[in-house]
Amino acid sequence: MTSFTAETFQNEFLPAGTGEVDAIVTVTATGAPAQAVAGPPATGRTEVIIVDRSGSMGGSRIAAARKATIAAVESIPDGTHFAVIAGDHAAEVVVGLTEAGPASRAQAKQRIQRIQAEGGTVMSSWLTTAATLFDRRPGAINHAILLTDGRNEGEERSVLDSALAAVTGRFQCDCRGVGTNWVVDELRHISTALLGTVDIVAQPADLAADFTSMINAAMRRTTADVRLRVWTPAGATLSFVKQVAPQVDDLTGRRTEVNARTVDFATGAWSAESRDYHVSVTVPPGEVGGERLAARVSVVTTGGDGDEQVAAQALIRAVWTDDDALSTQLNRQVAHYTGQAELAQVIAEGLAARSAGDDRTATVKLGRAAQLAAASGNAATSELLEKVVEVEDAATGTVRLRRGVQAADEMALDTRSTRTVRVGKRD
Amino acid sequence: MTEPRCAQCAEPVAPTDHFCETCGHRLTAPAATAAAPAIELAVPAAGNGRPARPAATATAVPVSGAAVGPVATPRGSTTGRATEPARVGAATPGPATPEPPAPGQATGPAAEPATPEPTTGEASPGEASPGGASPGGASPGGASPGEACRCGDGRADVDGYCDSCGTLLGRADTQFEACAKGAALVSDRGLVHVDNEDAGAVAEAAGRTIAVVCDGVSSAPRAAEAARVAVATAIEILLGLPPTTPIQAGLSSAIEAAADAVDVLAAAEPDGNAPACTFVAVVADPAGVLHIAHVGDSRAYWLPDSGEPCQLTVDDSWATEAIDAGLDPARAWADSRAHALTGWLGADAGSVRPHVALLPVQGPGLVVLCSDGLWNYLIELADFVDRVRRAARNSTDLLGCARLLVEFARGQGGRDNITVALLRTEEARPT
Repeated sequence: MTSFTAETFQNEFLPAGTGEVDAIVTVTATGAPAQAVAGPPATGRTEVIIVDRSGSMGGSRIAAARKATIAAVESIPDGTHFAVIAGDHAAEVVVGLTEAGPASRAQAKQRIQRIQAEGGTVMSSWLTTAATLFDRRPGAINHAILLTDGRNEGEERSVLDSALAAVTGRFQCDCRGVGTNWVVDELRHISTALLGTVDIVAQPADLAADFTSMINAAMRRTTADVRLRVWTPAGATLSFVKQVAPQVDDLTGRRTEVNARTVDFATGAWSAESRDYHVSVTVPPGEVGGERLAARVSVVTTGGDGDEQVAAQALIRAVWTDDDALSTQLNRQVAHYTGQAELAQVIAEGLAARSAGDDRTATVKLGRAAQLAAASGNAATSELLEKVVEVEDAATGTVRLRRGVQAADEMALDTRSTRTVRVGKRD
Repeated sequence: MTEPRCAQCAEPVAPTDHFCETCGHRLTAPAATAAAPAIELAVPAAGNGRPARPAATATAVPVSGAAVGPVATPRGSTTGRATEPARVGAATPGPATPEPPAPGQATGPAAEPATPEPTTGEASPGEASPGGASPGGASPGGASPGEACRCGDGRADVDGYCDSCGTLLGRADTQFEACAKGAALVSDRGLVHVDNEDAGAVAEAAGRTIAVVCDGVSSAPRAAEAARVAVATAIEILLGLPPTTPIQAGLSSAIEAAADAVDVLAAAEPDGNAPACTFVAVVADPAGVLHIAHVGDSRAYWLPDSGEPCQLTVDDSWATEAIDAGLDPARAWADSRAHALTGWLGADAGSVRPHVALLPVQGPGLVVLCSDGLWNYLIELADFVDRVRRAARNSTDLLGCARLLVEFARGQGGRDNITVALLRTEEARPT
């Protein structure tokens, strides 16, 4: 049985006459077993693997994709339902929705071996077909892996967007791009809408391990459809809600309204894990000595009987004071994550500037990134940055763009730029 | 003659011991030969001789769990609650979850005393008891759930905030009051501090009226917990004193035990920051003697109905010691170090000894105990006395008087937590 806690980190003191409140809310789920569950949770699980079989996948890529899909199927525990879709300009359900067991896996392997590469790329049909499969098992924890090697050239972006809007909320999807001919932004657009991750697998041989690890991670999730519900008082504006750990993800645009003062943010299925959110609210100023509740953040889950449950709550407060010593302190967590969010942003801006040929902007932005990464101890990002820029002095953000950067290195920095590091909890 | 031994643990004890040094068992005072503890007249002047610190009991007196202060939340960060999943309607995301029991919640009156029928006033109406009873009962300054907000659109939720405009209407856990026969106490978090790290209690038993006030040191961790455990420990001992035990000895034991209880809190602090608090306690006995124990800068004053009022305690603070050493009082109080404590309860208090004293008084009067959240606005004794007498004239009982004093401090800015306890002494009974 998973239990949730929610904890607020903030400096609640505001100078008289102001109303901007920033807080980090850490939501932690505990109780689910760390390893993959032996059997499915009460609500059941469904896994769908979507493999791009467009012509460009020919050769080592499709061979590796088949191997990886088989490895994934073998990692799926008995009792979980699964299916495999091969996608080109349409979507073929190569392995129909079935319950995992020795016989069904064996049969699935045979069918997967027969997947050949030919045709175009129309991702909307892949997503729509997957959604139809998931709909057959309502209430289950739905997860998909989508593998592609290229652009979604077979359709207009607007068509993909409509399909994406239609399938949002019906399943979570982790996206992977093999090789370097695909577009990070395109896959990221899909993965963020479908509450999943995006990453590059430069070498086809590495696909099997990556697929297995994604399946294992999905199997550890035991609580479906966890929502962050944010109440703000009359007259207040919810400026933004961003997930800031383990990855930066601005949720603000994806809110759904519950009532005039309350909005929900879908966060997908959870295993035993912890995620941090940065909530920023502006409230009408109160009088010195007064206090106002700036936001109430609740973690809402759906019970087996379909009823909503509030699993944890955190309060974000505003207290007005004329004591400068109190109101000018920056909460450590808020400062840290503001820096991490800026880090992700300047990397994206720097890489975009570089692709556009604007070396000057790229140098400034990526220099700032190097500075932030070093200051926050984000070693993983520092390492990825080093492949794209030569860092002369991280403290001042002095860098030089490298020539002849490998596309894979640039795409790795791009996809992983949103990964953050945490700060210690002690104030 | 065989060495006297403790009835409980059989360890040797000294004839003058009132408590076994090994196991803490209360020993029957041997006939009339109990050594009289040092008597010290407390006068508001410099240079009190400090009595030797009585031997500490070897085991900490267990705290009965009676709450003597508000529910504490850590400063600077709010701990959210992990709640049992509760049903809410899909459309209303209200916080309809029972709060889990938090440390220091009221469980009821203090431990049963050996003396007949004491009255004890502890904690506050409006505090939730463990077991999930919803906080109820209005207490002044604390809104009860459902109370209407001035904005006209909403009502107080379980946390005390208006569910429409979010304004804090008051939270029962940061203000509390207590009453006993001849005593009253009011505590308030003030206007600046978010949490109330003061604690206090009043009680009456066998004609003795007791008041204790402790002020948690905010710069150390778990300040509210330190204050609460000190108050609870002291009250338990004071209420449990057999009538034959000299109050001075009992008061020494009480402050000792409180010190030990606060010391113990440091064990759970990984950084070695020891929780700490001040301490002031007064026991008024029916024979017309005030017994005072204190360490730190929470104070006690004596305001006789006729006669000269005086401050019963001398602060363990930088300013007091500076004035003692000759510094101009105005400059001393203006210094940023003024309130730095030179004595407190806590594992890092070092060799500072608590002060235990007594003052025989004639005739009726008022004893005032308070934390610095009040006296800081009334540094001159004359101003302090004047304000208290004014509050007494404008109220019908001790509780009302204490509330007015708290209001006064809030009106002055309320920069700190404010706790005031009042004891009324009547004509001394002929012995």
